[in-house]
Amino acid sequence: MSVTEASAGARTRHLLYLAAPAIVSVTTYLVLDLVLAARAGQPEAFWSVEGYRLTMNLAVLLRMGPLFFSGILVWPAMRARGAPWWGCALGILATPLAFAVVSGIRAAAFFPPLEAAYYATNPVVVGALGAQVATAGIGALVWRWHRAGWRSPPRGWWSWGAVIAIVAGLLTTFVAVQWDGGQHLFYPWILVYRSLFAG
Amino acid sequence: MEVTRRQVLGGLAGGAAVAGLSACGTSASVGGRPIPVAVDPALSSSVASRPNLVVILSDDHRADHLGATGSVPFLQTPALDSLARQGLTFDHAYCTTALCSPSRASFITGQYANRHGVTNNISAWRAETVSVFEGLAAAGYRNAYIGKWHMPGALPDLRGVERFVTFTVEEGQGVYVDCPLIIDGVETARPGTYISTDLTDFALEWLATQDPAQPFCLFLAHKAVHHEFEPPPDLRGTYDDVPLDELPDEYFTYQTLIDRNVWEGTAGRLETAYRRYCETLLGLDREIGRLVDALDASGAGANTAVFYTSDNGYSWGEHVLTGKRWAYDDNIRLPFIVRWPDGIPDPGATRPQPILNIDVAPTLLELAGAPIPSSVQGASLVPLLEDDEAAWREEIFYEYFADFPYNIPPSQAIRTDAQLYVEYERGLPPELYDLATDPRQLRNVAEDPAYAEVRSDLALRLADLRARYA
Repeated sequence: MSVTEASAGARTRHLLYLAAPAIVSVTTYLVLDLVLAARAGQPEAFWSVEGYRLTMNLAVLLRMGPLFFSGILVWPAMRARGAPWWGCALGILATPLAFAVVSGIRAAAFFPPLEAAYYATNPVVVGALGAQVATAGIGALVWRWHRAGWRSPPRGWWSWGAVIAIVAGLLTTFVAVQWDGGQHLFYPWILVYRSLFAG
Repeated sequence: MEVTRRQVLGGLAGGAAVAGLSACGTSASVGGRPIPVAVDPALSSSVASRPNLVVILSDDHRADHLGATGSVPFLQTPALDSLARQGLTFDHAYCTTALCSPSRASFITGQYANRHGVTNNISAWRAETVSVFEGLAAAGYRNAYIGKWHMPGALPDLRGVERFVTFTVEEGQGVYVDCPLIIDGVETARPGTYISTDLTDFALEWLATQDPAQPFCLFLAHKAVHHEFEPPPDLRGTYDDVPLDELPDEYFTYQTLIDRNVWEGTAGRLETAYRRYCETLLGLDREIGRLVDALDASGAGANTAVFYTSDNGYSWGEHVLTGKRWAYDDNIRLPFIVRWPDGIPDPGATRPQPILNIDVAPTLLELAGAPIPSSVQGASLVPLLEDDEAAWREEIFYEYFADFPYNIPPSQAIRTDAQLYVEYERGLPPELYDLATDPRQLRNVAEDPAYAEVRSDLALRLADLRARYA
C-alpha cells in the first residue's frame, strides 16, 4: 500500500467516523421503511394479527425517530467527533433527504421523472427537514451546556443560532405538517405543481 | 380549484366597492351564479304530472356503512334505513371513477370522466359542459344545486338552476364549521353553522318556495362524510367506546402515516378517524331525515323521487388503504337508495343489477320527460325502478386517471358479478380477483394458470369497454 493509498484510507475512515451518527440514522430509517414496505398488509406472515399490528405500528412510529428527530443526537454526536458545523448540518439533513429520494423513486413508478422529482419536495419532506433543524438546535444547546458544565451560567453555553434553528425549524414543521393537517402548505405545493406540469 | 383565497379576497374588495357590504356577508364576482334556461313548450306541456326529484349526494360514504346492512353493528342510520324500507336499494351501485371531482361531474352529466373532462382533482370543469339541469329546466323543472361542487377550475355559473349554493374554501372541499358559502354568486360568511345542517336549511328554505303545480329538482351535495370527519358537536364521542371488530385484519393504527395514505388527510390514529367518520355519518343521517320529513309534511313526498347515494366509497384499512381511488369494491361501491312512493311498485326491495353514477342523469331526464342527449353514456334506471327483471348491463367499466401526488397509477377495470380485473397504465401488474372465493379482493390470481382463460377473456372485454367508453 502506498503512502497515498494509506492516507486516502485513513481519510475515508475518519469521514465515516465523523458521519457515523448520520449513517446510523439513515440506515435505521431505511430498514424500518423496508420492513413496512415488505410486510404491510400481510398479517398472515406474523404469529398473530395483534403481533402484526404491533410490529407495523412500531415500525411506523420508530421510523419517525430518524426521520424527524434524530438531529437531537446526530448534531451533538458529530460535533463531539470533530465534524465542522456544515458537516453536522449535512448529517442532520441526510435522513429527510434519504426519505425524499425514496419518495421520489416510489413516485417514479406512477409519474413521469420530472413530476416524481417534484414529488420529492413534498410537505412531509419539508416538515422533516424543519424538525431535524429544530431538534438539532436543541441538541446543540444541550451539548454546549454539557461541555460548559451543568452548573455554568447560560452566557457560557447559550447560542442564539441554536435558538433561531429551534424556532425556525418548529415553525417550518408546524406549517408543513401540523397546521390544519398541513393543508396550508399542501395546497400551495399542488398549485405550484399545476403551474409547472398541468398547464 | 383555481379560485384561490387571494382571488376571493380580491373579488371581495371590488364587489364591496360596488355593492357595499351586507349584514351577513359580502358580494363578489366568484362565479356560482344560477343561469336560467328557456323552457321548451313542447317538453313542458305535461310537466305538472311529473315527479319531483331530489338527489342527495354524500361524500366518501361507503356502501356497507348503512345501519340496515348490519355490516357495522353499532352504526345507526335510521333515516337512510327508512328510505330503504320505503324505496329500492341498489346493492351493486358503482362509481365510474372513485374520486370526488370526476364522480360528481359524472353524476350531473351522465358521462365518464374521459368525456366530461374532469378526470381528477386538477383538470377543470369545462364551461361548455352540459349538465342535467339544462335538460330539466327546458322540460319545465325548477332546479337548485345546493352543496359541494368541488370541481377544478373557476367556479362556473350554472345553467339550468335557479338556486346555486356552494363553497370554494379549502380547494372546494369546504369546512364543517362556519363554512363560508357562495349563494347565487355572492360569498357569504356563515358563522355559527355546521355544514350538513346549513345546507339542509338552504334546501328546506328553497323547497318551501316551490309551487305544487310545477315539479322541482333539488340536488343536495353534502360535504359529509369527507375528512376531516367532523361530527356535529352533540354527536361527537357517540361511538368512542364501541368495539371496531369490522375493521379488516390487515389494518393497523398508524397506517395513516405510510406513504400510500399520507395525503388522505387522516394522519393519526385510524380508529379515532373512523369513529369520527361514523359519527359524522350519524349527523348526516339526521339531516337527511329532516329533509325527507319536511317533504312528507308538505304533501310532496309521495310524488317525489328521492335518490340517496355517494360520490365514491372509502377504504378503512382494507388493502392497508385509507381513502379511495382504487378499483376495489370498498372504493367503487356506492350506497344507492331510491324512494318514490307513487312510482315504485315494490318498496323495500333490492335490485341486484350493476348500476353506475352515470345512470343518474339519464334517469332524472327520463322521469322529467326530457330527451336524453346522445352525449350521455349512462342508462336510465327507470326500467329497473318499475321491474326487477328489466334487461340491464352485466359488467361495468371503471377508469382512474393520474392525480398528483397520490401514488396510484392510472387504471382501467372491468367488474362483473364474478370477477374484478384491473389493468394499470404503469407501476403495477394487472390484478384479477375471483369474487366468489375472494370477495374482499385480497388474492390476485392474474398470474395463476388456472385463471389464464378467465383473464384473457376479461382483458378482451375490458378492451371492448375501453373502445366503447374511453
